Amino acid sequence: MHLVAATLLAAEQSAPNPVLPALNELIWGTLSFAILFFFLWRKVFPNVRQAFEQRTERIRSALEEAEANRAEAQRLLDDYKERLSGAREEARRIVEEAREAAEHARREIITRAEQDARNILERAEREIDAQRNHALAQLRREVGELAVAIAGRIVHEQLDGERHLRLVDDYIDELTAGSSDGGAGAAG
Amino acid sequence: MSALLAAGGFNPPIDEQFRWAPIYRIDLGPIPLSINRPVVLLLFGTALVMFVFWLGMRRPQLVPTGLQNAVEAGFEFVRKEIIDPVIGPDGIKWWPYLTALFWFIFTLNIFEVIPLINFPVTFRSSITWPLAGLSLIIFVAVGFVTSGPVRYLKSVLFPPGAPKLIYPLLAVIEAVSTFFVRPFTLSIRLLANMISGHLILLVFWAGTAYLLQQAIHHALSLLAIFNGVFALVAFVLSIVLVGLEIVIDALQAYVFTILTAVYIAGAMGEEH
Repeated sequence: MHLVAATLLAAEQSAPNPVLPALNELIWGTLSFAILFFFLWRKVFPNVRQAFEQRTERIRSALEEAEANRAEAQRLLDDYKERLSGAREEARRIVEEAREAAEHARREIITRAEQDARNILERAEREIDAQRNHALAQLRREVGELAVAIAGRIVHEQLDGERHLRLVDDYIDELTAGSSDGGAGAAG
Repeated sequence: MSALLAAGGFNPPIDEQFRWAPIYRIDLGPIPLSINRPVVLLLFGTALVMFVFWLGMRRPQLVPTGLQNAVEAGFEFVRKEIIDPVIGPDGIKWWPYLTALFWFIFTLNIFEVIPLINFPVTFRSSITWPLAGLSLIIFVAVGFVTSGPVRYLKSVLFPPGAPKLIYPLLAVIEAVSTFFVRPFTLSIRLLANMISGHLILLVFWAGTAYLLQQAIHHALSLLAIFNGVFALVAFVLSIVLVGLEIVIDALQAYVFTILTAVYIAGAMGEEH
């Protein structure tokens, strides 16, 4: 208490005590700070908070977007890779199929050609046989008639037709047998 | 220096710093509202902070430029350096108050070294007392709201863990320390720093001017050279001191704000 009294006394004598407030300044000071605080709180701070929140949100969404884009790109890449390998497989399959089809066609053509050749050959052989048989039959008949005519004339013997023919056939058979044993000997 | 004072009658204008005659006298009944130079500077400083913050954030952009950067940094600083480490996430509701407190004190402090102003408004206890008083009201209110008045007072006056016998003494000490010493030291620390800093700058500037005057007065004599050299030394030192004072101005604003945050955090944490 003595100290306070002494301080107050000293203050009166010289300058006012710097620790004791002047009432007018105290009121102005309190008022000023109160106004400053309310102004910052009500007018400035909402904008500050909004700016910070928007920025945070923006950065977060940008990061998320980037991550999503990266995942999408990866997915597309995988997809393309898969499709590419599918296309390669498909091309290989198509070529393989074409080769098989060509091979199949080749074999079929060859088989058919061989078959055709065989048919032609067979038909030719049959025709040749028929022609030969026909020629042989005609020859046989003509030889028979000729032989009968010659023999009739030689022996003047009248023989009936049927017997003549049998004789001729036997003769020809002998001839044939003879020719198959050795054609040159029979003919001589 | 004392020899010089005695010889030449060097009288730095220190007394004037404590007497401010009204420039404009207003009284609202018994309430004195006279405006003197500190009040003018106070109103100017307050308006300046409000204007800068308003100008910076009137149309906030997503990508900030120029003044918006500065204003955001002004808020961010208080949050990152004071609220987050001292109070934590719950302290976010004190962001506007602590930001206003820091920049109010800092602006009024820095007037000390602004040419043509050269007067820290926080030199006046009329400014530091209400701010300290507000800090007291706030942290007590936070304690009352967070824990309830009885539990809060009990936790402050009767901290657990002490022997029962010393509680009567302890309660008195705790009461004085929490409700009187805290605001008192808040106010006096800021006030004393500003008074001492301002007076030292004043002495050095006035000293420089005085020594120069003496040098001119004793022109072409050994005393003139002597005075001239000391004038130069005083001037160079005053420049160094201006740098030091800028640091102290920022530091004192920071200390006041962070201690207020510490008291708020303490009142919030009493329930734990």
